[in-house]
Amino acid sequence: MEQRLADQSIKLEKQELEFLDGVADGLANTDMLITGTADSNRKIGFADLYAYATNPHFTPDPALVEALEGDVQLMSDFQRLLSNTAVIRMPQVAAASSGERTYREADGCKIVFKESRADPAQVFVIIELINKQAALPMMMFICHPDDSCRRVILGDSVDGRIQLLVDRDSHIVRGLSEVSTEVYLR
Amino acid sequence: MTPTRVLIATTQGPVEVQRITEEDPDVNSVVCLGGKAVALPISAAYNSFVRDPTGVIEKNFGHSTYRVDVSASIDDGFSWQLPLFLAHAFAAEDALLSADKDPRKTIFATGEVDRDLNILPVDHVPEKLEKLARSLSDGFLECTSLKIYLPTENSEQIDETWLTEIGLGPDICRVIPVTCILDVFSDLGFEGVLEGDLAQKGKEIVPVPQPVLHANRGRVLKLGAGVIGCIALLGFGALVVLGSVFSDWTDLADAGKYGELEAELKKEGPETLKARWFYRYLQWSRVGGVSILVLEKRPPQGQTCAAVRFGKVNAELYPVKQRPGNVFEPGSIQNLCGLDIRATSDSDMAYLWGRYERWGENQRHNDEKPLRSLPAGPRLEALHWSIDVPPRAHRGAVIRIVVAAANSPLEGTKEWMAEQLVQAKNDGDFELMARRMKRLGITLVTAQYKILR
Repeated sequence: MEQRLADQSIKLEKQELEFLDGVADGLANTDMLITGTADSNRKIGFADLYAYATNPHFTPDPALVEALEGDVQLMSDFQRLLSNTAVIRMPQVAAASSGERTYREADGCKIVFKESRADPAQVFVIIELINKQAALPMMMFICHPDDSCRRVILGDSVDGRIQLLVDRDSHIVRGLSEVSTEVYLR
Repeated sequence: MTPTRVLIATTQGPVEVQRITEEDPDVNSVVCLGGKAVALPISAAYNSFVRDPTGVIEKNFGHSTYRVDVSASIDDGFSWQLPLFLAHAFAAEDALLSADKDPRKTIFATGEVDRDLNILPVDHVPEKLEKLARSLSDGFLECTSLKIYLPTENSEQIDETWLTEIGLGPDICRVIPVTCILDVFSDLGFEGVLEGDLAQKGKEIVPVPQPVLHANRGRVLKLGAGVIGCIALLGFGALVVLGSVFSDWTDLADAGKYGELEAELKKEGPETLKARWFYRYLQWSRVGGVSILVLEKRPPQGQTCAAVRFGKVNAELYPVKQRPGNVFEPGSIQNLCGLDIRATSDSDMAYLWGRYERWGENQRHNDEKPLRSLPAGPRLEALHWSIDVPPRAHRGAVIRIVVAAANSPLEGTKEWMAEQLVQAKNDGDFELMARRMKRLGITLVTAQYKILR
C-alpha cells in the first residue's frame, strides 16, 4: 500500500477521495488480519494513515506517530496524502531573508501570532479564513523540510477565527514561524 | 477598596481568580489555567460575556479583551459570570488579590449575569457550598473574612441550620442573597454605587419605531402626484406606455435593490433617453434631507459616570453645537458617560440606514479601518445610537456617522452600502459616492465628531 502511494504523482479527485474515505474502515480491518494484533511493531496501514490525516477524532497508535517521525518513505507518502486531502496548503514562505516570521498568509488563510500581555512567554496563534463562508478547519499539520509532520487539533472558532494559546517555544510557534515549513489545514 | 480574593463556586470546589490581564484587542478573551498556556473550555463563553454588545464586561470596564487566570479548571455552565464580574470590578481598582498576597477579605459567589446586570439563579448550589465547606475544614482554604453571594432564588432554598451543620455557620461566613450587581456593590461598599434602580437604565433611550416594510406609501403618493402632472402634460395613453417601459426599474427601486438598479441602468447606458428619464424620476421622488444630532451624556453636577451607569442618577443630555458641513464641535472625554446620536429624515416616509464608525485619536480615519462600527436600520424616519464611554477611558476618538435615506428600505444594506462605504476612503471619495447615490434617489449624509482627551 505504501509503495503504491509513493508511486502516485497525480492529485486525487474529490470522488476518489470520497471513495477512499468509504473504504478506509474496511482496510483497517484487513490490515489487522494481515498483520495480526496491534502490537508496537505492526506495519502501518493506509487506513490509519488516512484517518490520521483526515479525522480529528482519530487517536493514532503510538507506532504511527513514531513512524511518522522516523520512516522516511512513510513521511513522504503522508505529506503527499496531506497535499491531496488538505483544504488549505500554506507553502514554504518565499521570504527575502531566512528565519522566523510573525505571521503566515496563503490563498484564503492568514495565521497571526500575538504575544500574551499576561505572559510574554506565551503566544496567541490566530487562524483566520478570508472566506467567511468556508468550513473552518479542525486540524493543522506542520511539515518540515525533512518531511516530518506534526498534527495540531484545532479548537472551536469564535467569530470565524480559531485561536490557540501556546508557549512561545512550542513546536507550533517554532514550526509556523519557520519559513521552510509547509502548513496544511483540514 | 479592601484587597479581596474572589472565589468561583464550582461543583469540584472553589476556584480562585488569580489574575486578570488586558490583552491585545485583536485576540479573543480567554480563561486560562494557573498562568499556563491552557485555555479552558469556558473561554468562548467568557469571550461573549466580555465583548460588547453580547457581553457586559467591555461595557462596564472599558476593554474588549481580557485573559483571566484561575486556579483550577472550569468546564461548563455560566455560574462563573457573577464571580468573574466581581473579579473585574476589583481588578479595575487594583484590589484583586490571590491567596499568596494575604487578602483581608474573600468572597465566594455563583450566579449568571444578564445584560441588565440582573443575577439569575444557577444549579448545584448546595453541592458547591458543601465543597467550599470541605475545602475550609480540610485546610485547603483559609479565609479571614468570607462573604458568600448567592442569587436570591437559590438563597431562599438554603436552610441556615444546614449551612451551620456543614460548617458554614455565621461565625465562618455571611451569606448574602443578591438579585442584581448593584446589590453586591452596595454590600461591598463600592464608591458611588450605594443605591439606585437598575430598571432606570435604558429609560433615557427613546425607542425608535420599527419600520413598516409592507407598503411604500411615500413613493406611491409621489408617483400618484407625478401621474396627475403627467396626465396634464402627456395624456393618459402616453403615461401607460411610460409606466410599462419603466416597470422593471421601478420594481427594483421599490424593492430597495439599488445595487441591481444601478447595474441595470449602467447596462442600458446612462445617456440613453430612457435612462435619463428614469434618473429624472428618481431625482424627483428622492427623499429630502436628513438631520443628525449628537448629544453628550454627562452626569449631573457632583455626580459621576459610575452613578449614571449603575442607575443611581440619570445622565443629562447636552446637544453638541454643529458647525457647517455636519462637523460637530469636539467634546472632552472628562465626565463623558456616553453619546446619544440620532438621525431623522425630513420626509415622513423615508427609510434610513446608517453606520456609526469610531477611530482612535491617532488613526488617520481617511485611510484606516475603524476600530468599531455599528450599523443601524433600515428603519422608518429615525435612527438612534446609544454609545457608552467605558470607565477609565482616557483616549480621544474620531467618530463618523453615515446615514442613507431612500423611499424604500435598502435591501442588503449591510453588504451593498457597507461595500460602498469601504470604497469611500476619504472625503473626496465620499463626495463622489454621495453624488452617485443621489442619482439613484438616495440621500447620503455624513457627520463627524471628535472626543478630545
